[in-house]
Amino acid sequence: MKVVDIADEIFKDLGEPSGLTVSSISSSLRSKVGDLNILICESFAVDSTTLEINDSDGVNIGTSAAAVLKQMYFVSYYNRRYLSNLTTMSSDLVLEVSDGGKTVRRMNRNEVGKTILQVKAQEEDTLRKMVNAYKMKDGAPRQVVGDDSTNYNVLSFPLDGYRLRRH
Amino acid sequence: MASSYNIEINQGETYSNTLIGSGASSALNLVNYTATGSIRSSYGATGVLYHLTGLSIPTGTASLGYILLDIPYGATAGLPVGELLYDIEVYSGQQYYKASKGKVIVNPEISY
Repeated sequence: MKVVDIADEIFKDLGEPSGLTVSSISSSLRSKVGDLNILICESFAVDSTTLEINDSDGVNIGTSAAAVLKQMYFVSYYNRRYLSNLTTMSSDLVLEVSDGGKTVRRMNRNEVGKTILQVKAQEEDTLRKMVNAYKMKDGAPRQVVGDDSTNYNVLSFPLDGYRLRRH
Repeated sequence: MASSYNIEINQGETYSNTLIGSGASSALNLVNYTATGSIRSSYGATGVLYHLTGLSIPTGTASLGYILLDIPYGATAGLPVGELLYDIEVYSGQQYYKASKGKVIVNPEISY
């Protein structure tokens, strides 16, 4: 998959938030290739000319690994949302002020932060499952070294002429 | 200190812009200066994604600090989508100054 297509999917999955663009997501995805390699034991790299994420054969990242990368982005997205909420925690957002009826409605940022943390935890859990599933499905051993079996000298002899000994 | 300015480009579209170099109190006099610049994916990237060959300082407005930047559609089509980096230098002889720097935000295209 092309990086721009992964970014576009993420952009749509997140509901096309105003603070994000496909361009910014694309750049962010490229910066996560190292993390992705560590998580799923692959060796993707960003091509220096096309900036596409390719495997060691120069082929674009596959859909399964791209799905893990997307999930990684979601985790980082909610982490950023949480941090940005933390920095503005000191001031609650006033949603509604009524004068005559004396109504002031505030948004409790602490509660918002907790909710974002919950979503982030869910996304992390999903990521963990996806990484495990990827390793089961697409992970291939890099090499198989050694010999775990024991060589036996197999003797073949005819059973004819032998009798089972009975007690 | 170069001023920061972000460039937003759509792939496959001709990009033209005029940058005005300014000093502390007045426009930079860029007479006898030449402009050069490049786009990279990151500060540490070894390869240059695009040399800003369309940079020029027109003689008529050089004293006012005008730098013209043109990127043809063929070049923007080849830029990868993302947030890239650029900077522009002006030089005269052995004197180099950073005129502008910032992000190059490349948006994707559908029509090739």
